[in-house]
Amino acid sequence: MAVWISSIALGGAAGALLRWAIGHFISTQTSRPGWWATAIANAAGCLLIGLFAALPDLPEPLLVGGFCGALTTFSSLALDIAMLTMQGRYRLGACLALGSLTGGAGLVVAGLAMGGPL
Amino acid sequence: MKIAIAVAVGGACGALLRESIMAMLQGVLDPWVALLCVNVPGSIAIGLLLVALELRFHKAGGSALKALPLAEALRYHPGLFEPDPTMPATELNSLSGRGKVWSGLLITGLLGGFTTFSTFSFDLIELLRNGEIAAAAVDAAISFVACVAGVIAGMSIQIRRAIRCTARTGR
Repeated sequence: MAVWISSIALGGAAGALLRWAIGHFISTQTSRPGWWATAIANAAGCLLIGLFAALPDLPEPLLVGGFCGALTTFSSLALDIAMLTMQGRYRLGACLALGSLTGGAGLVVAGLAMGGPL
Repeated sequence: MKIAIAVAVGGACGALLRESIMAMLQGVLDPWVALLCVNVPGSIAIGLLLVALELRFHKAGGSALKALPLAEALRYHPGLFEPDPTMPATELNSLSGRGKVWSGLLITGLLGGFTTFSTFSFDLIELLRNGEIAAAAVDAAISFVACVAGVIAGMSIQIRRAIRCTARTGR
């Protein structure tokens, strides 16, 4: 139980920090809009969750529930889509939603394939 | 540095909260339904919190809310779109610094760590691999529609509340 709690807390802290660092990099080093950061973090997390699921004997609470869970986020993605929608940028909002849906699923499959035969 | 610590603490708490809820719902609900019970409330909360933090800490003007049609009614809210004239510059800076720490703790950390996209995508693939195409389609549709609607609902509730407060103070 104590191992479970500390694994998830540690993985969650690391995942959230990496997502924040990606956002910090995007906003200070590039001129891309903020939704790119969430999209990149989500894409990386989807690839990793597939890879982790395919590899044997990994500490799942640390890597999956903690790290991948906190690296990716649905609330910030929904916030990005909601902001674009409320600004009337429906096409970009729909592209972000559909791109996240198909890209996320595709990257899970890619991660699974990287870890071994499907 | 303060922001990074806030993000890490928030992320740890958010991930723990999510995994505890998922563990409690295990065997009660399908995993993808249990995840909806995390992602949808998390999205409503991010809408509520984003606007609450902007109203509380944005005193130097140029708030991101300006782009929203709903925000038209907030144009007299001091500090949101124009710098708050009643505040000294030092206070403006320390307020926006504190706002970044709170936003790192609650939005990037807690709610970002609480809600998750990787498990959602993984569950979708599992459903598809098991031939449960209808469940996968329902999961995808409900997740996006309910979370985006939840954000908009959360933001609208806070904006309406702020408008009522401004009206009461007679500004």
